[in-house]
Amino acid sequence: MTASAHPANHEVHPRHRLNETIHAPVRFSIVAALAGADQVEFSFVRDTVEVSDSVLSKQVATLESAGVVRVKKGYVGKRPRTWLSLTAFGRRAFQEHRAALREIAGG
Amino acid sequence: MAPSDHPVTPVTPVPPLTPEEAGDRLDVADTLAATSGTAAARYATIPMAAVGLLAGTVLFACEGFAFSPWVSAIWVTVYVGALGASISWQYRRAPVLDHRWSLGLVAALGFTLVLCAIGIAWSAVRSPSLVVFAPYCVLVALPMALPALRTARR
Repeated sequence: MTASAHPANHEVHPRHRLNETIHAPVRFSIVAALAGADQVEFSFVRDTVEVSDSVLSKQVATLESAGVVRVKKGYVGKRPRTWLSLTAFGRRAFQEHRAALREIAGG
Repeated sequence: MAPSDHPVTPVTPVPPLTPEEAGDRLDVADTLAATSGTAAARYATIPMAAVGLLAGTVLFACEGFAFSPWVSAIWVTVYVGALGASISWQYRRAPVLDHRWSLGLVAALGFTLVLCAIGIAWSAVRSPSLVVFAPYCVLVALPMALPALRTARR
């Protein structure tokens, strides 16, 4: 095996570093909206990303099961509220995803 | 239906991306992060302004009563209570929260505390007239009130 043919010597294309869970457009938008703050209310994310409650719930469930998003439920007075936030893993994964996108965008 | 009650959507492999598409994605990410970041900053303006305004008010009130220990203790209690109420309001009502303070805001808080300490020392040593001390108390309020005002206008 020549030096150039050794897999370790090949540069991995940045697309291989894209996170499959985050990459889907709606999930990407949800994570991006959460990245701008520590904790965001469900309805704020819904309005910002412009999706229905149902779509947001489904995508958040996927992100939650992947450990990217944390869901916290509570009450303000008698009204139930759901808070979404990125986990430390989710924040790191999003940064790496963005870095890979930046490399692809740079050509 | 709450998010955790929903079935998990299957994750599909990442399709190939062109540099333009990747650039568009980054623009979307920047816009969305800025939207929630700006909203968080806007909701933080009340507690932010409260720190400065209350610090100035309490300093003035304490000097007005010649720093009598009991009256000062009452004013400091009022200060802590009002500050706690404004922070509690932010936590309960604001749809977006960000605990990461910018370096500028931390510097403003530090400056406020330094001005407060100077004001207390000045008052203890020289006992200035309220006419002179009142503008100083306004100055104490400014380092936190000004960034709050600027954020609210954003």
